[in-house]
Amino acid sequence: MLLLRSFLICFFFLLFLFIYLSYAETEGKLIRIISPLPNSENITKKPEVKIEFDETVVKETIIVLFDGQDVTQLISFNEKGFEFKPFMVVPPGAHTLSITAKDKEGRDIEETVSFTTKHSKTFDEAWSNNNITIAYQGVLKKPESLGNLPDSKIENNLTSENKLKNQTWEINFNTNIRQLDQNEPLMPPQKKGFDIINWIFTGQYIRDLFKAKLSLGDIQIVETPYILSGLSRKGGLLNFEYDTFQLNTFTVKSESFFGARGGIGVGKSSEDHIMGVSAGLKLFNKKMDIKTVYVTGGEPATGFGISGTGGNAFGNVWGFLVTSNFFENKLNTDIEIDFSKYDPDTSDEFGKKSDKAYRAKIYGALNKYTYEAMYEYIGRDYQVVGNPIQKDLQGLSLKGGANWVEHVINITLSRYNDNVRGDELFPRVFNYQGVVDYSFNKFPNFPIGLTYQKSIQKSTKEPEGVSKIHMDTDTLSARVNFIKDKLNIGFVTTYSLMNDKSKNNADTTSITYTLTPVYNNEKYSLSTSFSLNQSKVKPTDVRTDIYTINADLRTKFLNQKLSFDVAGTYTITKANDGSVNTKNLDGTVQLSYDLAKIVKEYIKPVIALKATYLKITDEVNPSSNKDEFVLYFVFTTNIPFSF
Amino acid sequence: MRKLILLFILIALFFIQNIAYSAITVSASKSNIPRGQASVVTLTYQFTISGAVAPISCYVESDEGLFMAGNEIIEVNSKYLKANIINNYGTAVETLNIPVRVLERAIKKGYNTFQYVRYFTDNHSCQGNLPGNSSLVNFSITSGASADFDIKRIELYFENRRAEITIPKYYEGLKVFVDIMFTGSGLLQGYWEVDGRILSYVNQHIPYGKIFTLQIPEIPPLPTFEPGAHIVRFVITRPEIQIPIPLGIYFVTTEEIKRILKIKLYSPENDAKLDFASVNFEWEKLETPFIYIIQFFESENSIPIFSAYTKNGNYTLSEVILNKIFQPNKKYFWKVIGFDSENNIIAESEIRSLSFIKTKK
Repeated sequence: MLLLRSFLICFFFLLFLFIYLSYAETEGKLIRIISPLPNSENITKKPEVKIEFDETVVKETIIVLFDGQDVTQLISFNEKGFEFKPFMVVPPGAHTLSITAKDKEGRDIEETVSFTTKHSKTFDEAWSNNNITIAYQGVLKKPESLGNLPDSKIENNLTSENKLKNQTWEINFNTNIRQLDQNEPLMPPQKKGFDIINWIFTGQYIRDLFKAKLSLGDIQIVETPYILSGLSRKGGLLNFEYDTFQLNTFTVKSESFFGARGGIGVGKSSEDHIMGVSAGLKLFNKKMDIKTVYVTGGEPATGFGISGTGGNAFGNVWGFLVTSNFFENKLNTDIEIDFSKYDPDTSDEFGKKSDKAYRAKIYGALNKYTYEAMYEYIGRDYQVVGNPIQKDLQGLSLKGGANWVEHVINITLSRYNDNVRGDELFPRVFNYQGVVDYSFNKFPNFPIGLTYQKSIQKSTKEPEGVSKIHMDTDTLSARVNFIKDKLNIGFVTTYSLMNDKSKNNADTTSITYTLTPVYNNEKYSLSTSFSLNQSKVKPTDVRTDIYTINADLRTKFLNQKLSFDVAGTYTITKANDGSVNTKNLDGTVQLSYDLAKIVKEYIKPVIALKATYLKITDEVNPSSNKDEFVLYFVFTTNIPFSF
Repeated sequence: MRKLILLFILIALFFIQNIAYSAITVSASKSNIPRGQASVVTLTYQFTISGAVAPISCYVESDEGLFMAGNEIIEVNSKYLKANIINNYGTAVETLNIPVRVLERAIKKGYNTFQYVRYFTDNHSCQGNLPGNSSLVNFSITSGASADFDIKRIELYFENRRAEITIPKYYEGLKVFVDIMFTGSGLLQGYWEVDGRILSYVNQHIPYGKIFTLQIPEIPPLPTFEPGAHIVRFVITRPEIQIPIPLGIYFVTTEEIKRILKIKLYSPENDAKLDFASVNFEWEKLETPFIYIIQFFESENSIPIFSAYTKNGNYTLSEVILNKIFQPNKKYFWKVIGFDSENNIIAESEIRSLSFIKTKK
């Protein structure tokens, strides 16, 4: 018992001594950081800063740096010192708060504290941002000719972004879930009811040099320019990295779908999936990358957003890519070689054909100058599922550029030909092209630019009965802008002539003039465009003129509560042979009132009156004439919620 | 003799007229087909009956079309075709798919041409006045550059590389692209439309080469003030195409994005040469922004090396900071961003450069 009493006395004495000494140490300082405490872990998204300072500190000399950002003007002084709460959410991890000031004698004082933050006890970062859209539209007035225009429709959407993060792993999930309904059929591919329009789940684990990442849902695959250069589909992608080694494997549904059709996209059937694996290695202090890729699968010619000819294709490809950058972007190299087997139509008796594609590119930048030289060969039968590419092409292109700030010039020269195998049944067509682009930027309010492009196409080795091809195309374009405060007036004109020097003599000419005055300020923005598109086809000697006037106006007034938005187009189309003579006015006007301030801050309802007007006057075919005015009542709400 | 000659001329004219009008004529939208690629061609048939005592209304039909190379049938198209002839005249349109196998079979037999033939019957409905019983179209197989100007594939996508995107209300600068794979060379004509409203026309010569990518013009912008789904397309009017026009859907939510206003910078001037001493930065103080951040960079595209928050239209870079972060005789870039009270970026300035050329004495 005595021993216990002695122990407790000693413990409380030591504790008192520790607190006293700590207090004495803090008290002795002219600037005392009350919170956050040094090396403390804080569970918050916006850590509160509380500072006390001695009377000898000159308040006006205080500078506060939070993670290197000067936040001095955001601090609030109180009797003992000042307080500060970050304006933005602070990312989890280590932070530094630094305070410098002078005392009355002019001596420098500096205090710094390091601390860490986490968004929750379990996770370094944990949040869910959600937003619900509710949009109802009802017709108040419509003409009889628009009998199938839905009298009412409702479109609801939930946008959700979620993140969980810890020291070694991270999970993200983003989605858009939508509900549509109206009293008439919807235009495909949209459908009535609920649909998961898009979603993506990513899980990532990082420890030391090891990294693993899984992506599921609407993913994008990027391997090499000739294999997969941006395939966006539903499926899964698994990525491993260890130090300088990288491994990717993926499987995606080959058909492009809208919404949840097609499932999650992960599957092993190569007929309707595209699958692949790639491995990469970084060498010489990461200055050289070596990569090999294998892709196999089948795909249809069409899908959501895609339209094409042909049947179901099937194929595989194996490729190698070597890139290097040993001289700090002064000299980069990029070499690729790929071997494909491809069947453009699996329903016929012809199987896969083998072919190859390769390219070698050097490029770089030397001070104000850039350069690039590339030779490429794409075989007659080289094709890859999921990566449309213009095949049967070989040639060389050279690019050079100089940027002297006031004067910028870029030049491109190229020579390509088709029929790379020299098949005697077909001609070989050469295409020589040169482009010069010049910008004059001496006057920032008055930038000017000129572009000239010349293209010459000539055929050789035409088989018997095949006409020669000789086509010259000249395109000259000039652009100028006048920028003054919030006004930007742009003018672009382009003249283009395709001179068919073959016996067909099918010349075509195109001239375009476009004027785009734009004005933006805090309360309204007005974008307008006036354009004339002229085209002339020599064989028929028909010239068509299209005049287009566009207006896009947005205004907000009555303390941002009332909005008035307009979008409209007026076009006149005339052909000199009298075959076309139409005038078309099409526009939408919306007057909205924001009820957010009246209801509650977290529900933002808006009521609106919307009108659409379409008038078509066809002098040639009066039966196409239209004069349709539709008036709608619109109610929309925005419900954001986060946790 | 004169009467005989006149009679001869009249008989000749009669036959010439019959030859000219009692016929099936067919025209194809294109005749030079690229090897290794499926093609779709529009065939327009015209049927004319002459020589009948009174105008005839009847019909003709064909059960199938034959692809022929030399005298051999290389493919059968079992698509039925019927044309109604009214008052001696009728037309029919056929959308003909030419699969790759037809081209390959012809080439395998050593031909770079093939024919498409249809045989017609009238089931006696034309009372023995059938305008003809067959039609023939010649096609040449050729390389991609020498083929007729034709669109083989169209892919439309937004800036997320997909044909669908969800954006907030008043979103600015929504980008739409269309990748066009084509054969031959020619004048591409078309227009961008949103919800059926034409936004802008495109006339552009495209010589044969790589895939052609077209981007929607920035002005006029795609409308983003109406919440809900909107459909955007690029409609090609020339060359005449037979494949469907793909569409993209952008959905505007009711979450409102603030328009990015331009902050006008007052001082220092662009490319200013300043003493290495405390310096005041000034800009236009707008009505709306709640808070500003001024950022400093070592190069235009790098991350900021220093930044500062302020509620005012100015910021003084103190000597303490200057000595800690900046160096004399070095170029820096700076810009100002404005936020509203909900942390949204609502204003941004241009980027300016400056140099501190002198060291403090």
